[in-house]
Amino acid sequence: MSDSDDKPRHLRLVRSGEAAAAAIPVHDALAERILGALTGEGELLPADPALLRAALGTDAPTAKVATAVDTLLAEGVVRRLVVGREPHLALSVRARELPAPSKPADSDADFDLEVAVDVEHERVMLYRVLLVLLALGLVALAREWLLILLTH
Amino acid sequence: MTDGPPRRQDSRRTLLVLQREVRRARVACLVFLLVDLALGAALLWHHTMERFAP
Repeated sequence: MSDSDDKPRHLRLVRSGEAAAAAIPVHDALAERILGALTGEGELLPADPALLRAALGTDAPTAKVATAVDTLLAEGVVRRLVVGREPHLALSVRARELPAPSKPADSDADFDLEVAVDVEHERVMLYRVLLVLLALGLVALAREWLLILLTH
Repeated sequence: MTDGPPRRQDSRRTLLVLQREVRRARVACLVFLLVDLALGAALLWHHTMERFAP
């Protein structure tokens, strides 16, 4: 047993058949052991501390096992699953979810640029429509003036 | 990664061209509007003078 309880260690959970792993901070050797036993696909452990202690084959006191379970539940790494009347422990979805694929950091800038280009396109189109309307008005006024000048 | 920077350069160039076009269109619209207003006001003035001429 190492004495590194002040620094959180990380347990790498590797799902069967997949190389991706999720890193979960583990503060306790007992919690690490519980998580290690839950790592397999569809693994369940009894939630009752005494039964869990027996299932893990550890000589830690039951109260310590209960504390470790409570910590894991509070962190959301492990969830309680009631099968029939027996509460069990299973890895939570958060622990199982794979790390998000790394997005290129500048995709937001690209998107903003595309949006700006679209906005400018729209603006140019509106100005063209306005220009056509003004040109029509100018033609109508010029026609009026031409008629006035010709009739005089 | 490979098509990122050139594509972005293209987009930036397109944006600059469009912004210049918008500036030109704005100036053209302003000129047309002023000419329209001047011609319209002159026409109104002409009709008014003709109507109330002694």
